[in-house]
Amino acid sequence: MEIRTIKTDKALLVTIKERLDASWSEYFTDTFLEYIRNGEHRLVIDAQEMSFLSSAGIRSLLLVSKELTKVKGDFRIINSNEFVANTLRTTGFGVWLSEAKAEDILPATKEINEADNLKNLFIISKDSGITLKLISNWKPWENISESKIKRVEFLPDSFALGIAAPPAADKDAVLKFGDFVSLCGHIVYQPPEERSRPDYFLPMENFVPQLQTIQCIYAQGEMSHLLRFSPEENKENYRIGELASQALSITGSSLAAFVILAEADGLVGAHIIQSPEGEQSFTPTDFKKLRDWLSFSGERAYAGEQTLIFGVVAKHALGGKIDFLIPLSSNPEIAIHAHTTIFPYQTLQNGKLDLMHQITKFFNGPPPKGLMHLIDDNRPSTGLGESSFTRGAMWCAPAKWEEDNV
Amino acid sequence: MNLIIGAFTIGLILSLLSLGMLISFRMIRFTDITVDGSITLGASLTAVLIMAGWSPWLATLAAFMAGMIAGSITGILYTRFKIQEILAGILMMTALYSINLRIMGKSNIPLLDTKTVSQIPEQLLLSASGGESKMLIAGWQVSLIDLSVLISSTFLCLVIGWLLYHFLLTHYGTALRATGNNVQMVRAQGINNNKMIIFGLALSNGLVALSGALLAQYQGFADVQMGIGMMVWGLASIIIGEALVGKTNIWTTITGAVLGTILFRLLIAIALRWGLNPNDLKLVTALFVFAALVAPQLFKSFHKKFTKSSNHA
Amino acid sequence: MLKIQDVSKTFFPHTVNEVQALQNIDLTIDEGSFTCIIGTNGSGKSTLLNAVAGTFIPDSGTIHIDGLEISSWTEYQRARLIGRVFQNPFAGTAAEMTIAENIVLAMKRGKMHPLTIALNKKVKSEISDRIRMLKMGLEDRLDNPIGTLSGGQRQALTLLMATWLRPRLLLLDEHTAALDPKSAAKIAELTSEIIKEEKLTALMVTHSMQQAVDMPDRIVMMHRGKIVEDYQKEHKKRVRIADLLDTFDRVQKRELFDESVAKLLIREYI
Repeated sequence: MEIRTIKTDKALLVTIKERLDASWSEYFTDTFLEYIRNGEHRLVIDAQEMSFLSSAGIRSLLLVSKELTKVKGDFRIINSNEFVANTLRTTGFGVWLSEAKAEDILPATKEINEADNLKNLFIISKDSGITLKLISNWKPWENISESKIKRVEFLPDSFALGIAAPPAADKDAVLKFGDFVSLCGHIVYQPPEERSRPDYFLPMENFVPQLQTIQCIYAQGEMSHLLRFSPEENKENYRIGELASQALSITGSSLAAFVILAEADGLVGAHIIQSPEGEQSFTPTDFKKLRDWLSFSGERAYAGEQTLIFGVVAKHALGGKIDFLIPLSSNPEIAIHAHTTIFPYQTLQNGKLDLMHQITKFFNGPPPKGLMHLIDDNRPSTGLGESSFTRGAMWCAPAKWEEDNV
Repeated sequence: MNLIIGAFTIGLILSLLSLGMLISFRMIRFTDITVDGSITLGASLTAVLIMAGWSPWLATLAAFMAGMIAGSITGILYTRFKIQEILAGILMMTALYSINLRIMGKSNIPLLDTKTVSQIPEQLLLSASGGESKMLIAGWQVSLIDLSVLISSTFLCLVIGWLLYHFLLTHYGTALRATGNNVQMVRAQGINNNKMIIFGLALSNGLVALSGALLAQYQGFADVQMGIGMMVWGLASIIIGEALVGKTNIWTTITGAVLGTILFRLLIAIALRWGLNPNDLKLVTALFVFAALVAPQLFKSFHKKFTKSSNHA
Repeated sequence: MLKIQDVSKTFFPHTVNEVQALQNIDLTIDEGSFTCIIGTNGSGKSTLLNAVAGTFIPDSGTIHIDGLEISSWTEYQRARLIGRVFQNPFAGTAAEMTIAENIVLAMKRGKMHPLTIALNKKVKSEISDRIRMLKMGLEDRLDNPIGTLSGGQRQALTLLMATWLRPRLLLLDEHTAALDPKSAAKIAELTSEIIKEEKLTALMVTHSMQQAVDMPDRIVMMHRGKIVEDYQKEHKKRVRIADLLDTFDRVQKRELFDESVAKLLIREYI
């Protein structure tokens, strides 16, 4: 078998030569899934030179078609010879066959639309905005007094990040504080243990998930803009600092909240692995001891996985007001705080995406693999840098602090 | 004929040396240089004791014991004090040089008209021949004394070879042989490998000293220099023996060592007869051992080259 | 049964090559259990096994077997209680001696070696009966030197020798690592079989995650001379290869957590 592709502005035209049978089907599937992953959601197969199609081949075609359906893509087979056409018709997949000609798909000349970039920005609701609240304000490794702990309900229109513990069954139970992120009421919480995977809590009909927080930035409201990004010439990935500063400029605000759903290029972060307790004897001076309290990713982790981030970004001039945002070394003008959870990869549909729909989709799929507080690793020479992403979507909205916080 | 009988007799006597070295060099794989000293130790001690009126059998036994002690000391130097094996042997050999001089009091003791271990067959032969000191065998005049020494050394050789053969087949002997083959395995099987090395060296040097004792009685003197080069001779004999009958099992190895020694003595006797300068003897032996050690490698590399070039062709 | 308490060993102390091969190891192995030690290269897993076998004497700490303090026993003295199989298939047998001679040594493991003839017909038939279970056809080759056998066959014999007299403890030091995949699988299978049938207490070091998951009933993971993970009972049953790899990752991640990271996190983590 041989696969050749021609890219047009309408679709990706794929020419298949010779046999598509059991020995080639796996390679075929992998190649096509890679096209889809790269954002090619309109695929046309030119089957003029395809000499044979077995059931294994049909199964591969079905897999590709299903994957495309998920992202509302389109899949057609053109120029098929009698044998291939008959095989497809008799097995009930005749719908894939199309009478279109290759010329219909191939334009005479290919023009690149300069305005493409703008196409990637969608306005959801111009007047939306986010209200931020600093509900609890514990800092590592202060003492935790009863008054520091705040019980928080995570409503469907809220976003939050911080450090919290699930409510304990009885009053005297020790609360296990770990990092968390909450998106539209869907909570992912990392138990403070090195070994365990993150836990998650989903809103049910009458159930609103709650946490006992000691540190919590709580955002309520609706996102106003959506930015889609994907690799371009000379631009293979997007740093979180770049996206956050985009969020500020898109919203024209000096304070913004953002949600990023993207394929990770490499994430750098840390999370608590030992729950802080009431009376802290720990002061972070001895690095060997700090190891028992925090886990650091140690490398650019989770490449190729889907990352779901909630973050807050502000122009640094405002920094005096809130010191829960950290300036970026690559852009000291802005300061951010972001938590991410990581899901196994799933292809995102092109174009405009609905945030709530995406969050539901991911939380109903395979469980999250990790949770991190993102860190800008700016150590000289050995630093891993900022987290970055290959392609995805960022929702953002202008934000303002609720006046009487804490 | 006398020449052949002489070579045979010395060969048989020295085959005890070869058997001893078989234990150290081949069984426990210990390059033991003590040999040069312990053969002289056996000779000098026997000579002194016989001169002092001891029974030659007792004197020979004492030589055997002394050799065992010398061997154990080398073994202890190696195992207990972690001295390299060659160096341990050299230390012991050097020390023995002085000890041997001390034992004899001088550098040379002649054993004229003294009793030897061969006296029983000698008397038997004398009475059989009716008092004649020579006998006619296959048309050759043969000295009865020489014949009796041949008989007694054959006897001793058979007995010791038989004992050694059975010893090596016992549990203890098997453990001893394994020690030279794979120390790690031996330890894992709960065998004290150090004890095995010490015992092996003791037995080896005991046999070497025994050989020295018999040699002194046959030659009729003990000399402090007599041990020089004995180790190389023994090695040469073992190599010849292995080439002769192989080393597939214990029995062939033991016979090989005995036959090898005899053949080696015959070759030397013939070479001397043909006019080889006795002073060159040790050089020739050394060259022979060298050749025997290198030949297999040379042959291998030659074979490799040959097959390689034929592959290319 | 086996009790390792606070055992430490440093190789080349006070030099640039100093290696803290074992750091305060505590490990207790129950009677009849089969424990597997895994770890990266240089993690100290083989060193721990050698400390039990007596290849060296630890700098500190004690080792007990059946309540007997064996820390100061020599290697060959411990062989009375311990059967061993090495990584090198040539290490466990004497190449130039015959199969029967090798086995007859194992029949006296840790006992006196008397001055009686070692091999007679009766002993040989006993050997060939037991060797038949290997199903390698070796029972007809008792008088062949072991050096003529393949690595797999020699390792099978070593295993048989180590367990000929029931050892109180069986030590297996990556004993399938140097074999071809097929022989390795065969030896692994044989190992499980013998341990199960004889109800042996065994301690195995392995590189193979698959073996660690499949064979033992406990997994101990070592890193830099320390025990970093110990999967027992239900935890062990739950463990999959991916979990072990995750744990390795975590341990290595922790390794990357140095002073500069600590400074970074103190500065950047709120």
